[in-house]
Formats: sequence, structure tokens, C-alpha cells
Amino acid sequence: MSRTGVSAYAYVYTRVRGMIGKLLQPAEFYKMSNCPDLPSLLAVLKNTDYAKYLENTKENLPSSRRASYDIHRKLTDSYRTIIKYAPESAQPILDQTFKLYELDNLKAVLRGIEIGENWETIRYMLFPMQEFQTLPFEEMVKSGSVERAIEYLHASPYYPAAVLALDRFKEENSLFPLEVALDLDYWRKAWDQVNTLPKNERQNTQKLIGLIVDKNNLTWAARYRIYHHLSESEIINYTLPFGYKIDDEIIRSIATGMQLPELVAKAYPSITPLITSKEGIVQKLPLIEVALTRMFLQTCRSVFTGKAFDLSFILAYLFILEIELQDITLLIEAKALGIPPERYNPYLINQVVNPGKN
Amino acid sequence: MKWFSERMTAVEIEVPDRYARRVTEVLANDGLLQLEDISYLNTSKEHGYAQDCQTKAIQFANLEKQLSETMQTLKINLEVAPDKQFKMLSDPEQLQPFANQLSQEVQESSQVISETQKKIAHLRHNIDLLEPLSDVDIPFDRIRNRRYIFSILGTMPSSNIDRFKTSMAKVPFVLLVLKQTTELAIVLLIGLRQNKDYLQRTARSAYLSGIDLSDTYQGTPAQIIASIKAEIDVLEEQVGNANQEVDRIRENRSVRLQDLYWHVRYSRLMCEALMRYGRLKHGYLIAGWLPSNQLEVLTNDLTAISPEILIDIKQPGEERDLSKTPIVMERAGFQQGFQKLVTTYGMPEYNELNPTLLMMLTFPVIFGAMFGDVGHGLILAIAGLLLMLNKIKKLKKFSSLGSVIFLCGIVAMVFGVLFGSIFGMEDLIPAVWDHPMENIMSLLLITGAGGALLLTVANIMGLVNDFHQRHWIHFFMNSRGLAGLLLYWSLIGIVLSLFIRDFPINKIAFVVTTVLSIIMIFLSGFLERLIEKKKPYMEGGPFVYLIQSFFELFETVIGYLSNSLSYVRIGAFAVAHAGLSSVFFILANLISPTKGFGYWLVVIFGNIFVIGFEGMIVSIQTLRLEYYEFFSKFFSGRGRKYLPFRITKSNSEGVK
Repeated sequence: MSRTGVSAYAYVYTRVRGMIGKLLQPAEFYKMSNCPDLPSLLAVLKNTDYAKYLENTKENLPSSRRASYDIHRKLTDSYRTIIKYAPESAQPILDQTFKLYELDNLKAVLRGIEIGENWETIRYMLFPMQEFQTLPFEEMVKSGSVERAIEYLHASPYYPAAVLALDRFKEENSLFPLEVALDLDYWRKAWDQVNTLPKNERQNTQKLIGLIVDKNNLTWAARYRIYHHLSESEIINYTLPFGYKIDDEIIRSIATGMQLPELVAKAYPSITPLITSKEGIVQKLPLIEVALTRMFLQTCRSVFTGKAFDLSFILAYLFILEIELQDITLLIEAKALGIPPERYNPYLINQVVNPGKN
Repeated sequence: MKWFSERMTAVEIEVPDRYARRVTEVLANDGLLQLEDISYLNTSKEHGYAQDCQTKAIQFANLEKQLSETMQTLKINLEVAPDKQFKMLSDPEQLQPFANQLSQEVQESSQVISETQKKIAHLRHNIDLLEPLSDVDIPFDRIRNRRYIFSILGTMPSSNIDRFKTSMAKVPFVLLVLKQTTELAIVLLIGLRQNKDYLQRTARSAYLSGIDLSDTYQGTPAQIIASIKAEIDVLEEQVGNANQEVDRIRENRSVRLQDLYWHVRYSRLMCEALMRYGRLKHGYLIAGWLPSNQLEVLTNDLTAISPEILIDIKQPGEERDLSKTPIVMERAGFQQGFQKLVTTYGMPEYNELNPTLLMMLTFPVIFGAMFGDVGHGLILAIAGLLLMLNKIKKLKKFSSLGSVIFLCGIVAMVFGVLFGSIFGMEDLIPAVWDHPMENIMSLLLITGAGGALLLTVANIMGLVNDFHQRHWIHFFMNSRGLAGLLLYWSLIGIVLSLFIRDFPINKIAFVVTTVLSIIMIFLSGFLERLIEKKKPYMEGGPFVYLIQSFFELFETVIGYLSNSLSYVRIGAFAVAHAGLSSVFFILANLISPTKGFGYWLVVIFGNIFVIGFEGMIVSIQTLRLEYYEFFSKFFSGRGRKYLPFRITKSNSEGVK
């Protein structure tokens, strides 16, 4: 019987505690946000735990894509350490959570093939899986066609879903059915993994994963309606039948044209004030996503102050780190393009706080 | 284990053109030099060289890929290298015709195999779809095309069935699941022809894929299955013939192919190393780091090739344009567990004190003080010993932590003797010092004093680092230097002289040293910029400088205060340990006042709980005190590890 609870998580808990201490502080986000350009932002990052990942990034000749790729190695390192020391019962869900980045890479590779990009362009757009990479992305890109690339997935867990959607890809000449099939398959497997967890760990983990699924369901449903003009039955088929608070009734309401902010507010009353802007739904959608992610970040942080010794503690750290990286990437891109702070700050998940005003 | 990293030397090696390949081979086989990428030093004139290396590396990589694909098709083992010395090949293009010819031979047969197998798979899929209907004795065409009824026979992911039914809530339909596995289901969807579009769109969104069967197949489902099976037999015979051809090629070519593959692979790795070199007019410039004591070995090996190879030796700090000096992490043996705890925080920088030995001294003492019990310590020591000796197979990956647990257990036993506690029993052995529960205040004060001592040690370590790095302003005037230490002890002195009657030193003396240290801290930033000739000497002007210095000073004082108080938790946990143990004895007495079976059961359970749960809490607290209070005073942890260039004969490793 595998160990669970306090004794099983003791070591990994200590490691994660150490890692939490190295997460960026609001003051560091403030500094980065106020940097005039990309080199100065990288100089700020080089005074943080990201320094070792940026050793080879030349400050005078930085490439935003390369810098973003380099810093994401921190997440891989965190997963490596955590997977090594996490108890047996937590391994499948950690493996599955990490696979989300592989899935993102797979989708990016397929998109790259579709628009005829070469490997050198695509490689730094991918998440650095390092030794965890199981898919031959370079060969897939060089194969030159989505159909041949899917053949490379043969022994992977993505193959059954991809191959079932391949006919539709060929008929419709669009990656949409392929990507949706891969996403749905991934989240179904993740949810199944969560349900196999020991009872004492399941509830907290279900909440975290359920919140991600909720966010996906809401944004997917809205996009299917707004951009793809899909019918109610199609939207139901392209969303997931589980989650934390979002159910089929809400999905159907989105499909029938009810306003998304009201529906989000119904499920999550706490984030209502953030999404009452007067823009149209197309402008609102990214803000709703930000609001949902901020609420998710808050939930993850609250795990640290609650009952600690279970999988949710580890997952919360990993999700927070992912959000931190998402924000840094946004800042890197914004600085590289010279976008002013007032335009990108609303899309940062971590709040930018002036330490002098605290 | 040493306090500072092994002395490192940076070398720049000038190699004439004709020796470059030989030198690279020696470097790869010696595995001593950590190569630094200095190709960026090349001027545009030498840019051709880098491109040449890169072109060759790409050519070798393509060749390697081509050969490996051929070998995989022929099922030749790629992992095991032939037992021989490899040489770098000069021209990848010379090998290309042989590789092309071979892959063409293999490809022709393998293409026939793969295309025929695809056809067979498609036909088998159709048989699978039709099989559930094989008892239906009417032509298949009549099942598909009805006047008022629309139907789709096909496959659908099993996981989509329920969702599909939910999505179809608004139209009448029947979904017959004819056959189902965990992955896939064969289904027959039947609905009204007037809803055909809706049914088709919804079925598509549920990934229901209809049967792809041409009109040439006629008859009942059973008759169609029979004709498909006959077609498969013919195709399988074609596959068999192609496989025989592949076997023949493997027999004739496998030895040469394997030999060539490993030469190409070796050459590719060598080219990648060459790409990191700088280009000179008639040669190459190689730069890197190695332990100073290995310099002679490398020099001998290189001068043995030719005396024309020039080796320029530079000490850390003198080198140009190289990244941070790497540090050698020794194989730590008994100290490995403590080393791991240190590297979890960070890697020491070159010229920075490696705190592993300090960790080895302080960690067990802090832990033992919080966990003082002879019995509990003994259990931990035994567990640590078993881990160290790899006696617990399931916990083998934690064996390096055995030494940490062992030492913690031993020190906990020592404190157990001081506290007079054995398995939570406070009356079995006399306390050499005192029982924690009986003298809480003095215990807290003593641990607070111990904390002050540890913080002083941490400060002194910071001074050692500054001394080692010749960072004199930091050494004397920084808030973490001598001035900071003076300030800390002056404040302690003021507090002691206020509370202790007849304190031997007058508090005026402490006030004077406090003011002196504050002035030193205030001036440190200014003096640093003055010595380094960085203008302006006061960033933001005198007013901003003063405000900034004031807040820095404030932060320093608050930091010292909070860090010192943090150590009081050592005493608090020592009391909690004794308290928690006594709770179980009270419970045991309640359950069995006559000290029967129930009494001992509760005592045993209680001890297990204390060792497991409290042991873990105490280790986390110890780690916290080490990382946040202790290390942060002198240890940056921003070093990088020494990883020498080495080529191995394994497919999973390459240039490091």
C-alpha cells in the first residue's frame, strides 16, 4: 500500500517550501513592469532565482522568445524535483499535469507544420520539456505534414484521440477538431487521475483542477459561440462534463447567447466587480480570463495557509509558478515590443504593486 | 569537504589549424576542461570558420539521422557502440552516396510494407464496423439509405457517448452501441431524415466517424466481410515478400552500418565542440575552466601533441569575457546529505564559503535541541544508519539523507540526557541540566542567546567571504559586515546593561559603539562609490541617500531583532516536545490507570506519533532557521557547477 498524508509528503513538502520562498515578490514585478526595455528587465530577472536560467542570454542582444524559453526551464526543474520526491500516489497526477505542457507543445508543433514554419523558428516557442520530452517534435516538423506528424505519435497517449480526429482534419482542412479532441482527451484523463486519488487528497485536488476546467469550459464555450458560431449541441460536445462550479446549464446558457459576465458572476460572485467593464464581449473575454486566473491564483495561495500535507500543496505551488512565468513572458514580450505599462498591466495576473506605497 | 571550492584556473589554448581535431579529441577523452563558448569573439572575417563548423555539424547530424532511420527500419541496435576508438571524419559529403544508396534500398521495401499495412488496417477497420451487423440478412445498402430515416454507422470515442446523448436533448434519436471497448465504440445512430443536418453536425462534434465503404462492395454485411477478407489475404502476401527483402539487406549491411553510424555520431559531437572555439588567423582559441591541480595533466597531454600549442593560464578574475567561475562539488560521502540540503538552497559561488560543514555542525544541534529525547533520538539514529547502509530498499533514493538523520538522532540523544527524557518519560533518568517543562523561561532565554551566537557566526562567515573576495568596504562598513556586527552586539549590550544590575560595562560605551556603527553603515554606500569612482557618489542626491540609508538601517535592525527572536522557537519546540509526550502519558493513564495493555498501547502509539509528526515539524523548522536566518547572512547560492567537456559512447549522453 502506498503511503499518503504527512509522512509521505514530508520531504517533498520541505522542498516545495523552499521553492515557494523563491517565487517573485510584488516589488519585483513592479521593478520589471517599470523597466524601460527588455535588457533592463532581464537585468532585474538576473537578480532573482531566474539568474541561472539566463546565464547565456546576452543582455545587449536579447531575443524575447529565447529569454522566455530559458526562464520556463525553471518550471521543468521544479517538476523534476517534485516528481522525484513525491509519494507514489501523487505521481500519476503530477505526470499528467506536466503533460499539459507537452500537449501545448504538440499543438504548437501542429500549428507550425500547418503554416509551414521550420524547426528553428518553432523550437523556442515550445515549452522546454528537457529530458521529459517523449515526442519527436523536430522529426514531426521536418515531416512537413500534419498527417505524417501524427504518425510519430503512435506510441504516445495522444495517438488515439489524434487519430480519431484526423479524418475531420483532412475533410475540414482545419486544426480545430484535432486540437479540441486532444484537449478533451487530456482533461478527461486528468480528471480520471484525480478521482483515483486517496479520499483525503481528492477533495482539495479536485477543487484546483476543477477550477482550471471551469475556466476552460467557460472560455471555450464563449469562443465556440463568438468565433465559430457553433450550435448548442456542438458546444456541449466540445466542452467537458465536469469541473468545480460550471455545469451544463451554464454551458447551455452561453450557447443560447446569455451574457458571459453575468454567468461568471453567478458561479463566482467574488469576481463580479472585475468584469463589469462596458466593452463588448470580444474585449471582455480576455479580461474575464484574467479575472478567473486571478481567482485561481488566490485559491492556490490559500492552500499554503490551510492544511498542508497533501498533493494540493504541491500543485498549488506549480500552478503559481506557471502563472508567474506567464506574467514574466507577457512582460518580456511587452518590453520587446515597447508596449506601455497601462496597456499590459490589466492582463498581468500578479498585481503590480509599488513597494513604496505599502 | 573544504570551506572553499577547489582552486580553478581559466585557460586559453591557442591551437594551430592542423592540431585542432587532435586537441579536441584529447579534451574530450581527458574530460577535464569546462568549455566556454567564445565563438562570439570571432570577427566577421572569421565568421566563415564558425559557419563551416556549423555546416559540418548539420551535415553530420543529417547523416546520423538518415543512418539511424535506416538502422531502425532494419531493426539494428543503435544503443551499443562497437568497442573501438573513433576518429573524427573529415568530409561528411563523401559518405553521403553510401548512406543514400542504402536508405533507398531499405525505403523501397519499407514503403511497400507501410502502405500495404495501411490498406490492410483500413479494411480491418471496416470489418470491425460491419461485424456486429453480420447476422442482419439484408443488403447493407438498404440499412444506409431509407426514405424517412437517416442513419450513421461508425466509430465514436467511448468517452464521448454520454456527452453526445446530453447534447442531443432537443431532437429524437436512437444511438445503438453495437460494440464497445474502453477506447472506442461501434455505434449506429438513427434519427429522422428531416433532422439530417443537425444529426450530422452533432455527430461530427462528438467525433462519430462514419464507415468509409465504396459502392463496389455489395450484398449483406456478411458477404461484404468475406470479400474484404479475401482482399486482405492478397495484401498480406505482398507484405511478406517485402519483409524478406529487408532481412536480406540487414544480413549484408549491419556491421558496416553500425560502424559508420558511430563514427558519424562522434564526428557530429566533435563539430559541435569546435563551434564553441574562437577562430584565429591560423588556428583556434579554446577557452575554459579546470581545477588548478589538473592543469599539469592537461598541459602535458596538449604539449605531447605539439609544442606549438600555446596555453595561457589565467587566475579567476583575470580572465576576459568568460562566464562566472564554476565550482567543483566534491563527492561528499558522509556529508552528502548536508551537501544536498545546501544545494537545495543554491550552489556556492567561487570564492564564497561553502556552508556544508557549518550545516553539518548546526543542523543536528538545532534539531537535537528541539527534539531532545534519548529514546526518540536512538530510533532516529538507527533509522539514519539503516538508510546510510541502504538497508531499506524502498527508501534507497533517500540514502544520502541517512547521515543527516543519524547525526540528528545522536544529538537528540545528547539533549535527551541533558533534559532527562527517554521515550517521553521524564522520571526514568535524571536531567543533567533541567526538564524543559520545569524551567521554560530560562530555556527560552538560553536558546535566544544561542540564536544570537549563531547569527554572529553567520556574520563572521560573511566577513570571511568579504575578506576572501577583498571586498574591504563591505568587510568594514556594510550592515552585514563589521559595522553590522558591532551594531548588533552594541544593541545587545544596551539591553543587557538595562536589565542586569551591576553589568560590568557601562551602557554609555554601548551607545558610543552603536552611534559609531550607524555612521559607518550610513557612509558605506558613499565610500563604495567613491573608491570605485562611480559618479554620482550619492545616488539621487544627499537627501535621497540619507532617507535610503535610514530605511536600510531600520531594515537591518528589524532584521537582526526578528532573526534573533526566531531562534527562540528552539526552546519553544523543546517544551512542546516534552509537552506532547506528556499528553500521551496522561491519555494512557486515563485509558488504563493500572498500566495494563491499553496504557502501553497508547504510550507506543504516542511515541510513534511524536517521532513521525513532530520529527517532521522540527526538521522543517530547523531547515527554515538554516535557510532564512543563517544562510541569508553570508550565502548567495548563485554559483554554477563545474561540468567538463566529455564525449561518451552512450546514445543518451553527449557533449557536456
